[in-house]
Amino acid sequence: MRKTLPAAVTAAVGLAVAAPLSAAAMDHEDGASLSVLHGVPDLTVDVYVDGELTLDDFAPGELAGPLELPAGDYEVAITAADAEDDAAPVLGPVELTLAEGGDYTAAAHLDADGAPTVTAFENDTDALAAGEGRLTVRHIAAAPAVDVWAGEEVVVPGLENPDEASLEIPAGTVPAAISVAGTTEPVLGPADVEVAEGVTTIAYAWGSAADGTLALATQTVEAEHTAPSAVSADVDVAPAGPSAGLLAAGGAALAALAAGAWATVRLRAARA
Amino acid sequence: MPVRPAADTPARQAAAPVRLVYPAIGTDMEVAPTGVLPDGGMELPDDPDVAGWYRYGPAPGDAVGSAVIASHSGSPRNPVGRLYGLREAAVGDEVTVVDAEGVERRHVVTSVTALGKAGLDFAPHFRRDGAPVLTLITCGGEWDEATGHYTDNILVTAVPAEG
Repeated sequence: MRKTLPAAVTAAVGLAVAAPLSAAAMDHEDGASLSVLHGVPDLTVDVYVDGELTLDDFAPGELAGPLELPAGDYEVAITAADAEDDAAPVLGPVELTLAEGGDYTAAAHLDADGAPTVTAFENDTDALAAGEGRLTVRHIAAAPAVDVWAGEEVVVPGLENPDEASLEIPAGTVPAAISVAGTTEPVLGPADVEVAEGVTTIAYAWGSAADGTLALATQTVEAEHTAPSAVSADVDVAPAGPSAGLLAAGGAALAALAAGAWATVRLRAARA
Repeated sequence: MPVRPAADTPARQAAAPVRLVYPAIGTDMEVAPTGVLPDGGMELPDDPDVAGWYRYGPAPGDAVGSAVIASHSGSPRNPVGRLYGLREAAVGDEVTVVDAEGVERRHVVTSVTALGKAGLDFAPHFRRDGAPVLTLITCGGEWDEATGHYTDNILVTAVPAEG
């Protein structure tokens, strides 16, 4: 179903540009979120959404967005940078379906044979356990299937263009590398990828193996984080001696001023 | 829409807190960054004289969210730690946090509550959005011989001081 962005929504787009990036990324309640990644080497382009020029002189390796849009179907066309309109696109038009509350990245990239194409990925923003982040790896390079390494270990074997894989791991720095599947010589990396807690970090392998333009792009999207389940659940010890009952009876801090004063004296004595 | 090189890195926070000074309860203590225990609880330094700052959340000085600093109230070796006195906290008290770059940030206490640990949902206290607040947590309430724990968490919230 073709949908034209009405003027009012276009104005809202203008406001979204002024909003802080992090705030826009976190609020999906009113629609969907769309980012655009340019992963086709040597081609500066213009990007049209439903016939409206949305990105002008968009260069390879750049990431645009996030743009907050109402859920629905959108037609995306990519033209040469000097095109007057979207009548003769170099890529597309392609139809993107954005679901309510969804977070998407539309990537223009080379397929395994080196031909330009567009893939719409949905970014996983589901809840992460406390202390963990999510690493999503996407193969959008003109290259055969690859193995993805974290340090000395293959964490995603045999990833093909245009597939993806996600891992939920303790937050930290991952020394990431990519090799042709079944081999150990890196064709990309190793490079440190920081996987932040409560965040989905997306690593893209893009470019062309044959042309020697393989590169790593990274995008971070706020996911749903989880708070710790408890604080100081263990290792509580009542103060030794007959004071225990008196201090424990304090209850809420606002009550028992006498106990409070006594505790102050005891605190100073303990540190003396 | 905003366009940038596809090289996102996690947003930087204010520098990590290293010291907590709370004169009204006689406390001046070291703060160290901590994370999560295997059971999902917040990790705290073993020494109750050292407080933990939950490093995955905001730092004091960040524009949004709750910066959490917590410690054990005591330990077998040190039954009355430096945040034990949190149970004496009062609205209006001044609390200062010093960060790793030496910046001092004054806060004023706005609430003091004792909440039963059983079934306590910590999600609101570890929020990462909304107005910036400093949340101090330790244990208190009744000493429960059966479980060997205090029954409550003492939660003190403080907001950045004006000026």
